[in-house]
Amino acid sequence: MSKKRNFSQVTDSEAIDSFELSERFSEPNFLRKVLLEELGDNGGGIHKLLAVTVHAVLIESGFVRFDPVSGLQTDRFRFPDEFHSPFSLCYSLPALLRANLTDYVLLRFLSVGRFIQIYGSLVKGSWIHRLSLDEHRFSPTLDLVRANSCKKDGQGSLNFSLENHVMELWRIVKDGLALPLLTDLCSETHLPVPACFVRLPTELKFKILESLPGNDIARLECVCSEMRYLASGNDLWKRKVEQEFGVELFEAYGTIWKRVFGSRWKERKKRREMRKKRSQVEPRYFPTVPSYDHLYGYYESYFSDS
Amino acid sequence: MASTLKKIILKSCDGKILEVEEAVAVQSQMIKNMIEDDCANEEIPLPDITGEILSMIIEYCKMHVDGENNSNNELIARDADFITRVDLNTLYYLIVAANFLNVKSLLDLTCQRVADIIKGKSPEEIRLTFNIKNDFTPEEEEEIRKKNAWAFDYKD
Repeated sequence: MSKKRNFSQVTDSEAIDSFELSERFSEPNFLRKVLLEELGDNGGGIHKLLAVTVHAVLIESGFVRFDPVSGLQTDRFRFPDEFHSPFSLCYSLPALLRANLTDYVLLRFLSVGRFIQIYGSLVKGSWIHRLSLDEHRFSPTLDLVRANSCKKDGQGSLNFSLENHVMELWRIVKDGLALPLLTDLCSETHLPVPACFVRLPTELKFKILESLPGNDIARLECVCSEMRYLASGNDLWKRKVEQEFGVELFEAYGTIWKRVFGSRWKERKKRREMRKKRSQVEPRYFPTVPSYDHLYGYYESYFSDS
Repeated sequence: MASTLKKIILKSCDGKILEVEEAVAVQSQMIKNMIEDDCANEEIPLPDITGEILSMIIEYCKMHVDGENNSNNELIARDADFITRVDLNTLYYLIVAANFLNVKSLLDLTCQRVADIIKGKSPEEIRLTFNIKNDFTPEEEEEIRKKNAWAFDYKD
């Protein structure tokens, strides 16, 4: 019964054992198997397909679905044949179920026109993570995955562009919903939080900073005190000024390069706005106003004489 | 090189053993140094890298060795394909591992990917994406936002 949860591990280790490294990206296959289990052959609307995909990503991220009434994990689970919006599901982690901890994740699915909105949060209150999936964007992909999944043998490999589309959907759900929820739940219940950008060694964070444009660095500074510290180097800003505005700089002693960057940025913006305004105004009004330029000389001489 | 078909044996922290052609393995400057110092005749243990991450890195190195004769644009497209498949959590481990193994092109690619994710986001969106805690006092935050107000016109 726990077959479903082990799929990702199985495919990973198979891939490594047989050195078929292209198999490493097993998510489409995983998705296909979950779709096959959940949908069988009877199928369902596209919103149900998207909901099952979200469910699959959560399972792959380490969540287990559970029943909040009994507090037990529900291994075997089928989506209802007709997808009725709104619709909700509860998820927890195996470690939390073992420890009898009561906080868990609630996912709510809501169909709005061609979009399916998914709201995820902790039941004991947390930031609500919202994801909106457009059926127009993903239905062709999912239909194909499902068509493949109905072949049962699971041997037919997905073609490359299709696989990329599935990966894109997978990543959107994982980064936008599954990982933030996992992080929230882990930090609330004192489990190790999934690794992220902040935990990188400082020199690597600095390397990332170096490859950002100056205005993005300035916004990153407003995120937390560590970022403010990382983004405070004068050398960093000097390089950013050079990259953004060219190298014809003369260096006075004690120049604060960030200030130079900011004021140049503002100047450039102002210049661009002026140019934009002028290009909007001129063609519309100018030709219709009769020109009196040829009379200027005449009037000037007239007034200066008097 | 006479020894191009020599295999290097890598062992991940979760006990996976991977046999890799030397030409692929030397994409890692660290392993290259070990080979030059004649320390790579037995399996090389990699204490902080899981089998999953290691096989991704080898896939990447292989792609670059196989694609040596391809045009630059083709390689860039392949790099983009490779990196957009990766979620944030995996991306973190890839960066750490690429740094440890010293695979420069992969480290550049992964760091650039994080930068691309940051680009165009507001401070709130960045906090949410990377689960960063806001440790400013309201006064501090107001001050720094005021100072950097010029950078907030990005959505025009």
